[in-house]
Amino acid sequence: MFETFKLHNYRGFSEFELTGLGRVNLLVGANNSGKTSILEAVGLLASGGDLRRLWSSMRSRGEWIFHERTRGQETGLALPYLFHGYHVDLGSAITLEAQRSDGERVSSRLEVVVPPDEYPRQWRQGRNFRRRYADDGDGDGDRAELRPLLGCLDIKVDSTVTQKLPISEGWGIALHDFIDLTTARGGKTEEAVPVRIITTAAMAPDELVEIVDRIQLTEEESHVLEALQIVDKRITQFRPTVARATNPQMFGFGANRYGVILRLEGHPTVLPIGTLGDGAWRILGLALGLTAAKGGVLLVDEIDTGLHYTVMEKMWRLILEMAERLDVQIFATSHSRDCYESLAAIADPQAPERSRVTIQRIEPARPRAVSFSEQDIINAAQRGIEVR
Amino acid sequence: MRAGDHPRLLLVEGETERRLLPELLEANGVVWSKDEVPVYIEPMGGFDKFWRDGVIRTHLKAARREAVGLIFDADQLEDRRWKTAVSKCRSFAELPALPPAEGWIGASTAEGPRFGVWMMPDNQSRGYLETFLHFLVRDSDDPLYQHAKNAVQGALERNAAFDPIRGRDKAEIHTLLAWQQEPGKQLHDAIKHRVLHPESDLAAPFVTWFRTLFEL
Repeated sequence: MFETFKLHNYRGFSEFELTGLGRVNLLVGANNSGKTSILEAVGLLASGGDLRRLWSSMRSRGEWIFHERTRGQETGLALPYLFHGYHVDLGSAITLEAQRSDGERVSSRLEVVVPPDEYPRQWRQGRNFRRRYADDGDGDGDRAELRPLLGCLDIKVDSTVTQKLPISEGWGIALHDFIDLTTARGGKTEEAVPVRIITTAAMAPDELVEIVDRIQLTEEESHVLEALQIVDKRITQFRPTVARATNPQMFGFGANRYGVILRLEGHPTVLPIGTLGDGAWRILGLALGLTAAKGGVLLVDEIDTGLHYTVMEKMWRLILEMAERLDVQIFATSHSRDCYESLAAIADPQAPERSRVTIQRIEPARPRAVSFSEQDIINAAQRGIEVR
Repeated sequence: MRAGDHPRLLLVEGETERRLLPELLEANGVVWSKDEVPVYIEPMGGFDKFWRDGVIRTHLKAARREAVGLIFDADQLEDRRWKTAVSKCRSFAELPALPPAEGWIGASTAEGPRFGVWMMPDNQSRGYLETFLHFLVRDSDDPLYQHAKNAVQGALERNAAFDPIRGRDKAEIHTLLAWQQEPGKQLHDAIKHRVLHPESDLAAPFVTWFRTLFEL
């Protein structure tokens, strides 16, 4: 578990630090204070600097580059958006570091360096660049790499460079370079620590169903059922539905809560989970995300989305219990007062020095979050102290 | 606005302070509107309650908080209470070992709001809020004032129930107020109607402390 977390030069922050972290950490702060960026940065460090996990959120924000190449198109991740001040050049670096509760320090550094003289094989194999290869004229039959590269992004985990990614024009990293890396590693995505993200749009159905499938008949299934029962006590069973697999077209368009069916007490028919509304899906996503993030980190943006204030206390209780059992550290964001006041219900006034639950207020002008311990959270809820 | 929300918060021992201080400060030029108080005054219910559950530290962390002040009575052993304050505040503020005559104002933790402490009556002597009120008596040579003091002493000699040490200052003030044109006035009214004299030089250090802490 991270006890402190620090970043340099990432997005809107030249420096930022979280301290006094616990198992469940709620990030609060004004709109645009950078809460989501910090979640992203924590995920990046926990996953060993794996930029690929940023791809879908960067794409949805329009932070990508696009080039017409002679043979097709190239899309990729636009680096400048990740660097503070949108400024990238040779030598620019982002550092992420954390102190773990066991005393260990972990760090990750993304640095723009001069590309190596000898480009790695997988770079030279980039599909869309074949036409650009040409005989370099020295008669040995090798094709010289003619890729226009502005630099190379070295990703270091602790002191070892674990990835080198080519930076193309516009300071972008082409998507296929990430894919090539995957193949180079035998098609496996190695994660330093399992990291799961749930965005404001809730967990993607495919991912959710995959996890539901995986937990069928395991011990976790009963805990996830308890989670669902927070939203509707009558739920007695849940299953992934095979129908989805055979009719992807039918479920593709506009359907965003599909793939799971439920049995309700006293109800003769089987119901699709979508019938129950957003809250059920959201809680299911949280419970499954926790399951999938075992031993690692779960990031949840806008954790109270779709949840009525009356279920929030139960949600927190469930989350803390599952997180402790599965050894997951959670970072969540919220704007809502109900959300953090309900945290007080699970906070323990007799909490030992190290809090299980914390609130971290992000203020753009301050390089360090204001950290609320369990005792602070209780005081704030009892006395109406504004933490946001 | 609740205590929790206001950018400027003053924690006091009880209701008497809460009602009296606005009158005192307003008479000294601090505009005090009921709808939008410049400082939220929160009675804690006694000296010991200040230090429960780390409440002050939480108050200092509140969003958009600019300043937090504490006012408590020195009581009879003035260095004991100050020492308690020093020790309890240590995790977020460094109070000096000896209380300064002008009251203390300083920073709280790194980048925290301003934090101030005033020990009634004047950071130096034993006493209470009511001791401070004695400073506001218009003319200490006033024979009526002397008479009030004598009367209180006389009452004690006749086994009056109030605490001879803790209650004397309070009894004397209330006795004096009982003999005014409109007898039986409450303390804050006494200030409002200038039976007590809020612009007294002796009150000035407190007013200055308050205005400096809260930038008013």
